[in-house]
Amino acid sequence: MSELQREPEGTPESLLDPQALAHAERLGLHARQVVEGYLAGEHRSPFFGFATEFAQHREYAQGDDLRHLDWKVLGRTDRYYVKQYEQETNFVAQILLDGSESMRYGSGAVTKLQYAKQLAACLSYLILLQRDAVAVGMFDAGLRRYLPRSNSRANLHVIMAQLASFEAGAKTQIGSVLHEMAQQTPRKGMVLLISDLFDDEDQILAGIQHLRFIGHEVIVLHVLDPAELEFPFSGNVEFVGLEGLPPQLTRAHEIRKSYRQEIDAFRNRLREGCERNQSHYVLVNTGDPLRETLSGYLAFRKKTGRTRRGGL
Amino acid sequence: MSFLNPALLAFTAAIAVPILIHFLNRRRFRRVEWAAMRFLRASLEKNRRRMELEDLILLVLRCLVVGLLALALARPALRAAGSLLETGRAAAVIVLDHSGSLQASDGTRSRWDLAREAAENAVDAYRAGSAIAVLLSGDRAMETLPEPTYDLNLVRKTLRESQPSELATDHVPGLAKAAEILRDQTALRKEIVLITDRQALGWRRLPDVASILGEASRDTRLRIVFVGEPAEENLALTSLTRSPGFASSSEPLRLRVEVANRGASTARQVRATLHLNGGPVVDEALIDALAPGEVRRLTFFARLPAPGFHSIQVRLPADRLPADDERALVVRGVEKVNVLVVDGDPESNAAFFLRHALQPVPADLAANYHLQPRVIPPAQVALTRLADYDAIILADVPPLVPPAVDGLSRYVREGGALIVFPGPRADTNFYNAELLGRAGWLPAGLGRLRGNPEGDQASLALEAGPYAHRVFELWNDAGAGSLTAVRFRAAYELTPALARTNGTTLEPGGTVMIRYADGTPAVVERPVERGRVVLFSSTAGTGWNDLAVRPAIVPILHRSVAQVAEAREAEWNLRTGAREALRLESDLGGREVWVMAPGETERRLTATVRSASGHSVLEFDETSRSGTYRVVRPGESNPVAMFAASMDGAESDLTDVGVETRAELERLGQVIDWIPGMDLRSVFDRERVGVELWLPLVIAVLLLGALEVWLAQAFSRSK
Repeated sequence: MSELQREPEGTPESLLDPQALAHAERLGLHARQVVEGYLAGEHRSPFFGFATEFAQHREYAQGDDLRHLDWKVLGRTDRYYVKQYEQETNFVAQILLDGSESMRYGSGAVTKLQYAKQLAACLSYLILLQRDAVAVGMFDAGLRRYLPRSNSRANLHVIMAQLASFEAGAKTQIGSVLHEMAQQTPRKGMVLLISDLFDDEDQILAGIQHLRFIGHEVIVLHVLDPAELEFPFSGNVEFVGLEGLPPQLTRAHEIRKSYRQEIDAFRNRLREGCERNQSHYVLVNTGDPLRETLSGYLAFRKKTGRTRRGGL
Repeated sequence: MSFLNPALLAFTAAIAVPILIHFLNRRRFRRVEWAAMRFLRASLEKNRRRMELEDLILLVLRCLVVGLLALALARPALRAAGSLLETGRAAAVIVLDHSGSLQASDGTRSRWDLAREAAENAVDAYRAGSAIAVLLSGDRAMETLPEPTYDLNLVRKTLRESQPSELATDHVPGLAKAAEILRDQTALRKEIVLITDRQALGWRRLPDVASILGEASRDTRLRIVFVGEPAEENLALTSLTRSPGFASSSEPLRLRVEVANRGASTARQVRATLHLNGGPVVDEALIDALAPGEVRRLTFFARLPAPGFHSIQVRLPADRLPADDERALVVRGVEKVNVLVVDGDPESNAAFFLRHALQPVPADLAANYHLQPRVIPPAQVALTRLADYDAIILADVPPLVPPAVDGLSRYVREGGALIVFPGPRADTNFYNAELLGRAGWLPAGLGRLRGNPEGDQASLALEAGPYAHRVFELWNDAGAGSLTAVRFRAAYELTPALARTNGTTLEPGGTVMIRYADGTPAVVERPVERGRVVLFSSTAGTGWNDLAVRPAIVPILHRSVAQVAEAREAEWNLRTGAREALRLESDLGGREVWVMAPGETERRLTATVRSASGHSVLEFDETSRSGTYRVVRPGESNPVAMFAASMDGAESDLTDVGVETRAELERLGQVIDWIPGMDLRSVFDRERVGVELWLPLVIAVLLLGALEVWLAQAFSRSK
């Protein structure tokens, strides 16, 4: 199970796993597309941006702009170096966290919501670390909280506090929330949907399609508990629905295979729907350590980004 | 359908257990909060009907397993007319055949041993609380344990101590007695267990057996347990008789023996030997070959060493049935036979001719001749001690005084021989009213006188042979002359007396010994209790016929006198099982005597001699063993009397019951072929309750249980 322990929700520190963050930082987060932004950075931008943050020195090469030559170094060492600046794009990552009642489920130490909140916190930190902007929305049947975009690391604490205090609500309506987000954020960016997606698939895919239509890159982080994937129950079990559905009594082991077929089919439909909309579908198993989940995903992002961007 | 353990049927209520468990199981569950309900519900919707069906199948299987197990415990059984009462306590009579054929052996064990073992096994077939009586059965039933007893150990002991016999086989008396015993029993289940060999002879009165069972209590059931193997070979002595006449120690005794081959193969070089008083061989015969079913008649001669009782034995080499390899005959050698001639007409020559016919020897030898006649007038009859005479001849006797008639009646009924010749002085009214009517011993009524007594013309002649009667069978041999030559001028018309009932006893009527040529009776005889009366239709002298001057008169008279003596000899030679009533010397009256059974020198039975009418009579019925019985005074060894019991010759026929008879028996009851080691309890139970079903049920339970386990595994597999 995850090395994360179920801790009382509401303490911001609990949402940041130092190990996970450190591991994820090395890999970085590469935006898939050039977006409009205010800041110049590593990301190529259609706009001429401003370089603000020194990153490193590089030996001068013919053709380099002499404006970037570091005269102080030349004076001290008699060597020609140019300054390189970290350029941040105007990349805005919208993190949408599902807070529906179904996210309260957790077979082990953490619930899906806890895991999702930690995942959102890590992603927010990483994005802010890259000097990109991040906006965080928390929803169930509708958008319950929204933290507008910010690229300030100082805002991280606010994000953490909001995430920590976020409680699961009622039934979810992911599709309508996605449509709402699409309407509110006309600027292209990245949308990270963190949810168990226990909602109408067509509505969800319609929402994704809407976001894609606007130009967002959509990444679906499908959070599922290992019990939901494996259905390890046996004997007589009464399953009490978390979203107001009537309880079901059954001999769990006898329908395991059938259940797995159902949920696999559900995941497949979602994945295929995401692929159709050129979105990324990532299964997040809350049984896996968050670090592995993040690093696995970011490695995947880097790889697919290089493939599609010719090495960037 | 019936149940051996009906109380255990209550366990069928356990069918509710799996149902209860089923519902209780549904109440025992773990509650889990669950988010992915839609997939769970989809799976459930897809599998609900299947799971419900599987649940139902498993529930039905479990109920079946429990129900069938409970049924198996109750030991159900199929039987057409069974009932729950079948398995309860019973009243039973074990009829153990101990007839002579049961002594047949297979070389190691006799049928009797097997029968006794089977009988004990039959006792084991009854549950505690059953009451059992035991009868030993031959051609009569011996009530060994006449009242059904609950003490089954006593029954076993009785069976173990039972002795074989040489009785003939007839199952009717035993079964009748058993049915009678059971009639008074109140048990709901009554059973007669007849244990016997397969001898067909025992069932010759099968209709009587059927009627006995028909009249028995409705719930009386017959079980026939057959023991023993068919006999392949058996040689038997089926008859030992002596020639008619007196057994005089002065004359050799002619004996006739019948040897029968009852086996299936020819017997060769069969040696038969004759012994006197258990001594060495006194005569013998060798039969070269005796075909199966053949009967060979042999003649032996023996000379009695002295007057008195003698036992004559004939023996064959012992075979598998030793009971019929020896036969005994007791004869009494006589020195003197006293014949009283009552001469009714001293003027006639009847007494003269009778005296000479009785003593056909010269005068100087007459004193030593065994027949010693004495002639008295009718008036002395009442004054004479008649019991001292072996035979009395009434020759043309006029009406007698009542004491004389009473004396003669008593004499005859006690076993005397009485020969009556009518004549001119005979008053038919007296004869018919007194002797035939009141006294009841005259063999025939005297009718009109036929012919002309005064004339010379013979009007009647005796019939030509063949003659059936023992007295006249001599003339079946042409060499002995012809009786048709005897001329009768006059004779009374005889009307043989009809049998009549005197109280509870049936007195036989008169039977014709020989007839005239016209078919009318010439001589009629009549057994009267233990005596015999012969009535001629014509005179003893030459008054109305010329028989007196014919040589035939001697054997006719001697044989007529002797046959009465032979009838007395029948007292000494009886069939096994018959009740002996032996006349003994009068001084033994009221005293005890010892009866030594055949082959026994130490073991004796004590009997009391009864005094009756001037005689002493020993009544004895322990005659089931064949051989010579000796009657001795207590403490002495010389017998005062002897008698022999012989097995019925037919008993040697060991032929098994045929298919048809067996089929009949199976209609009457259960027929079991018992072999050592067989458990009669299960056989009886099977018949009582039919085929037990517990084993198939247990197998079904096991199979259903296995199926349930397999299905439960298969159903619980994730789908």
